[in-house]
Amino acid sequence: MVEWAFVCSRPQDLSELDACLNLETTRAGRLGELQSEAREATFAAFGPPRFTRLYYGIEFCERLLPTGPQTRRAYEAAAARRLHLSLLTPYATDSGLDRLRPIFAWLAALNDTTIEVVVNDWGVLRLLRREFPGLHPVLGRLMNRMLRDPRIAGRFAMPQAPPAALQALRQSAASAAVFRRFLGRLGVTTVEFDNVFQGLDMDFREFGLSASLYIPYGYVATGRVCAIGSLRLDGRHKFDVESVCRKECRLYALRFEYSDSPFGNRGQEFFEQGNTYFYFQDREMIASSARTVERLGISRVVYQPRLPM
Amino acid sequence: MKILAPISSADEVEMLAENGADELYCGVVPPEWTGEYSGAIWLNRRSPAGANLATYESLADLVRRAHGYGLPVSLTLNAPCYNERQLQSIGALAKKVTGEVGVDALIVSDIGLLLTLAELKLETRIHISSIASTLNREAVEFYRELGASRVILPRSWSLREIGDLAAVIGDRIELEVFVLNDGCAFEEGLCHTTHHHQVGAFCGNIGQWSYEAYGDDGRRLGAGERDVMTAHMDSYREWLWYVNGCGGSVSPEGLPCGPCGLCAISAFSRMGIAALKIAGREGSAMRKLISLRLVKTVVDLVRSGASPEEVAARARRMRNAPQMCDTGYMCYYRNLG
Repeated sequence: MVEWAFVCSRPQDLSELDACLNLETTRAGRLGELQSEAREATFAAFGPPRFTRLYYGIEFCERLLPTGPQTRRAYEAAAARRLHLSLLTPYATDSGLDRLRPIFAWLAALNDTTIEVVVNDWGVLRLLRREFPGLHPVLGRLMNRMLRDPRIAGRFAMPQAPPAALQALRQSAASAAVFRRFLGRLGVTTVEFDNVFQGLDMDFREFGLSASLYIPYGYVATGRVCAIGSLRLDGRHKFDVESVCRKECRLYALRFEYSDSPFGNRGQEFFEQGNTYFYFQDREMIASSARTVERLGISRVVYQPRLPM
Repeated sequence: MKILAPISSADEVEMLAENGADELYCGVVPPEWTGEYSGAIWLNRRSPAGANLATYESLADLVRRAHGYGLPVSLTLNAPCYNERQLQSIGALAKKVTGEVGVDALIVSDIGLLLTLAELKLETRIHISSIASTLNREAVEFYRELGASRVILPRSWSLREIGDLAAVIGDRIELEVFVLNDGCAFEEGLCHTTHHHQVGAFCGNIGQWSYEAYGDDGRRLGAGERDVMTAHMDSYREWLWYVNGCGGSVSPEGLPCGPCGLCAISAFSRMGIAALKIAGREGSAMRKLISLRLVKTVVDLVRSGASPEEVAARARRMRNAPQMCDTGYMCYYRNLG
């Protein structure tokens, strides 16, 4: 039985939880089309999802971390709908760690063993293990460093590629026994993945690990320098990690069209929101994700109702 | 404070040693790797062609010559991730290069490889690659506990952050920072694209693509907002151009344009930074030489006791690209304070 979780990355979206749970289309234009396409494809591939877990927080930017009270609100909103809570955390600087500590402290004080913390930074995991051993860590998708390059991943993964190359493209560090033993020592029993173009080739039942798969967005690249976060700054202060952020990422999204591919896959779309670029998984990819879940023993699907920023 | 220079051929050892390199770093991609994985799966972060040595013999020759000058050699084993099968062959490679070949340090980013090396009990230093995305002091401690002797800080660290880190942990582990050539628009280990020659760098591509901006609710932007966005995206494309080595351009003196941290070297000296990294294994011998001379001149100036202002002014004069310097987009480290 596959568990379903859905992502809520913004405090203000907690008031729209029910719309999210129903996968309603809440956006206009192309962003809305993506929501509708994803919903239809998901229903066709899996049937209507029955969500039991809320992923709240952010994987990509420490400046967007929720506050303690916002996390509390999320926990209460989840509990009211009989959902368990997983806190999403980003890669972080020391300043980000300082923001995470009070959130972890609040969650730890609940003594709720169903709470998870999805970590995307080894430093965050170390902090969690040392200071909040009661919180259960999950290894986030940013920690599974597989190729996520839609420009060429499909090309690399053609059937005539050498078998070892195909396997390397479709596996992460989780395929290594030494790495899995290490995760066990750190208390990590679940690892998370994007639904990648080249496909996955790991048997999680055999590995003794639980695995999650994110649909319908995959991330391509993320970084501390945020393009849109510099929107209103003068030229000299743009694209500087020390500059002030006014969270313009929550106001705009950009769609790029890959128009100069050497492989004829022109028209590929990339979406940028904030400091991160994403690809959208079309109907075929979502259909294949259902087969992947079955074949590899993936135990959880994480649904992103929209770009997870 | 050592100067770490890139190298891709034994023939470059003498040139780099005679011009101020204190340490060298390189990569090797033996033919059996390419045979097994094709050119698609890279053994380290750089393309097999151009940036890497092709045989163990050529690596041994390079190491022998470097050691003749007293220069240690680090080897990059810094692909973002290796699977079980790859770890077996990389483990064997590591054993060979540290034992028979005499490489002094391995540059590593994948945790699985770190653990494998620990199990092999190799007598070598481990340097954590910038690909590991070490962004906080907890992560530095994490890698130190796994046996790292040095952490190479990703380019996104600001000067203030590096100073804070060095103050609390610099006595327990060596820190290495970038000072010249090659930027990265994203967080290095969190960009899951390839620089494969058939597609090039993703961040290099973006600047060429058409785009459309939306409000978060999906609406199209009004004319005023669209104008602001267009002007901003033009700036973004300009920044990406700088990050990508200013399109490979050079100054009238032949200096490579592109990301640079020369003005920050005085601060690094005060912080006790162990090593200054010049990027560009894939560059020509001439590019490596000119880059090294540039860094060496600034380091010598710092060692002579010149003030940070004098050092920064001299660095700017040497670069002779004041307009580029003034944008700030060529700087690894802005806000010198």
